[in-house]
Amino acid sequence: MTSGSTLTTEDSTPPEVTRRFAGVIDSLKGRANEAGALAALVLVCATFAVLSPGFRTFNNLITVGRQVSLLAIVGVGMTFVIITAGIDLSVGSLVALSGVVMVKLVTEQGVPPVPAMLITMALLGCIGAFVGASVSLGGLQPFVVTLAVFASARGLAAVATGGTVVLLSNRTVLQVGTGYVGPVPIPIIIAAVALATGHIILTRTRYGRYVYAIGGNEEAARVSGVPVRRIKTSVYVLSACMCALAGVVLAGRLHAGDPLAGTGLELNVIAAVVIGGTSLFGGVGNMRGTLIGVFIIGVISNGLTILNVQTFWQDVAKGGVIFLAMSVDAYLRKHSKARLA
Amino acid sequence: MTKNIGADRDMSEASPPHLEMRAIYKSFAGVRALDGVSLNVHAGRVHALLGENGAGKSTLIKILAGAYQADSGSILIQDQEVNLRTPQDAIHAGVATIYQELLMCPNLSIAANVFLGQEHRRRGLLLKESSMLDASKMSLASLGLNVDPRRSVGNLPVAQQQLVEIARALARDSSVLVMDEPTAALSEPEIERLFGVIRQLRDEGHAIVYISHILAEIFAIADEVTVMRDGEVITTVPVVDSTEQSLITAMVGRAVGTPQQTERYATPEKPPILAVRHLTLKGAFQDVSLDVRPGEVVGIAGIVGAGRTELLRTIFGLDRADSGRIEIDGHLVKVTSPRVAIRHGMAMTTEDRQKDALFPNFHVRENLTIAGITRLCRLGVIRRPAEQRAASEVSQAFTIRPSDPEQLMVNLSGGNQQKVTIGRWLLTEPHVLLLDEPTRGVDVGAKSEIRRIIRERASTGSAVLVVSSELPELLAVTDRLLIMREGRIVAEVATADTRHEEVMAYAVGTSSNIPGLETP
Repeated sequence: MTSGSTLTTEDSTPPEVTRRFAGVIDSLKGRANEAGALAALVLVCATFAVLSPGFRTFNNLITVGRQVSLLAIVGVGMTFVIITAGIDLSVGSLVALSGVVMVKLVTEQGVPPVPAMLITMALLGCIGAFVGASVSLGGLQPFVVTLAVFASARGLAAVATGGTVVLLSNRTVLQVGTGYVGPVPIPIIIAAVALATGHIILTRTRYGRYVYAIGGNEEAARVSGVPVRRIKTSVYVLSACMCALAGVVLAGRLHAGDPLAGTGLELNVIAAVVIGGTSLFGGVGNMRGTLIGVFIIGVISNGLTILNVQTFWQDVAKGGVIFLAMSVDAYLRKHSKARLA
Repeated sequence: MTKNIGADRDMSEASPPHLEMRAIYKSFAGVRALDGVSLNVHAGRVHALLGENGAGKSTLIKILAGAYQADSGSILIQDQEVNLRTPQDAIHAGVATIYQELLMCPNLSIAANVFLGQEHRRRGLLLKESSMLDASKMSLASLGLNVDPRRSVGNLPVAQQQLVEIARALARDSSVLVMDEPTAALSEPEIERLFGVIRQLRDEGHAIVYISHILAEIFAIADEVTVMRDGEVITTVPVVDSTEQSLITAMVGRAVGTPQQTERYATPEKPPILAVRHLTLKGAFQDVSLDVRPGEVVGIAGIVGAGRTELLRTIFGLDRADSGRIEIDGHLVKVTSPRVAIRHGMAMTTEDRQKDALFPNFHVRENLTIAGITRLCRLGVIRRPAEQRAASEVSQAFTIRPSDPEQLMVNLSGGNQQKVTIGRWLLTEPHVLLLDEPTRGVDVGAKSEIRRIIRERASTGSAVLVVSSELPELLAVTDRLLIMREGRIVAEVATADTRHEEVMAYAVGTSSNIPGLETP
């Protein structure tokens, strides 16, 4: 017994160099995922602040905040999905579908806003459960399943409205999209609450631990008694419910349920989450990064609009920044891995 | 015919070796795998490499195949030193390795696989399909395989895929053919056919390295045999001068490096905690029954592929049995998933640490608490201080180094990583421990610690079932040994009065009872 314990201290310690650098690399690595993104955000903000006085105002900050709130709400669900090494391409279509459902319930069926909201969430939750079950029980690729839902959900939304928009007149719902609490727009508050809740769930709860475990090593999670199928299904339900919330907010802002709302949203959300350091391979990521990521995307659009840059060029610039942020990330990752190996 | 070959062999004995490996050393993370191994293989001979799992055979041939780099030593082919830094280098040097898991593209045709990487091309651009089809058809026919070379490799039986791989080696003008347990997946007649091909290649002047731990095969096919143990060459002898017994003795050695047997606890006459009855998983094991009593450590010995890993996985609910029962504390339990198994007090560590056990994205703390996290939660929220305390306690109890649980897993040695995968089960307070290769790939110090941990768990009343390919390990730690061969338990012995040779004889199935092994 005693001989055993003396033996290990000798030969189990990692090589001298690795040990010396381990602490530094650990702290670097812990933040490295967001470090690139944060640097990019600061750089982008500084550039616009210099180029345009209009960018530097408090009002503009609120504007950016409102623009990114939608990305942030959907991004919370997407972060969970991507940490399990999944992907959800259906979010843009689900946002459109939920907006249409909500507006139709409120204006055509006369359902009060709160029950209407709950019904919309439940419906979207069912779609999420279908996606999740196909992935976790049916063994289908999340990319393929959510691509199918991406097509069908927007189609359903258009069918429901006959291809046009349905106008919204309910004041409560309009408030959700356009109202303020003091100087702060309600969508920003909703996004902040969603991000904070997501952060706590990921870092403090058993559920969050299981989400990371599945993304890190699904087989090991199964052996360790993690309910892998249940958790994998639930992240798609969560993502769909966040889409329902975002859909209601967007309908309130647009004064209508629009089957074409949220077109291309999925790419912006995935870009924001990934820029924020969440790995598409799973197991790594957090809400801080997602917050930074949505701001990068939002600030680029906002700044370039203020500078009167054509929207087409905005897309080009956005692509460039995404590539740059990911390159920095890949470089940092490779560097720290090489040292550790 | 046979006389003729015999004469040829005598001539080559005098000639210099075709392949020479000189004083090869290789370590992995401080664990010595090869300790100055030298090997001479002559053209026109079949040279067998024999040894238990972990003896260093695989490492040696991976160095020869360019997959690993030796730390020191040299390799000569026809007296020319060769530098094998990549698998491509090995191919160019004329060394072809045929692994147990065949390395081909199952979606491509036979012809495409045979000429993969050296396609016949017209002006270096367009493929000359017809010439490749003809050439591969001829090559395969010479190996006794008459199939349409346009068929895709994935649809062929394993035995035929193997021949395609041999044809590929020949298409590359390989003079050295290394075959790593080529008969593992073959039936009796297929083995006979393969031996025919090997003899043919030998007579054509190829140097063949044949790896196996099935003694009967070595007597059937090899000219010389080199026995390895613990990373060293024990002996190289002509097969005609050796017997099964002398080879087994060379393989297992005499008490050298054999761990001391730990203090035995008298097998308690309590009812078993774990009882398995007539358990069958098709294609893996059949009709397995066993009991493990509280305080008892039971080992399962056998060669790779005997069905040991699958048995443990099935008991733990990772695979679903086709028939049979599992009882815990006398109650029938339907183990449909690991969660059910854990709820009934079972715990398991898997054979492949990296693949099935470790979370590379987690710190040591999180790796230690993942299985028992529910006990550290209040309403689904993890109690941080409780988690930190639990992780520190396990870390101390198992002397995990570095001792700080806020380390990344990559900073731990293999032995400490393994202690983490066992230690995580401390939190669930299991009554039944299923350990698959608990000491694989860990250093000597960690091995003895893991042995101590296993005995400790048993002394607290747990039932432990251990699978290991390292027999000395099993002899040191278990009370009772079950020996599996080809999916069945073929023998059960009390560890205290059994010997290494006896277990090996059961495991490799030379005979159920070898004369001369009875008395020491």
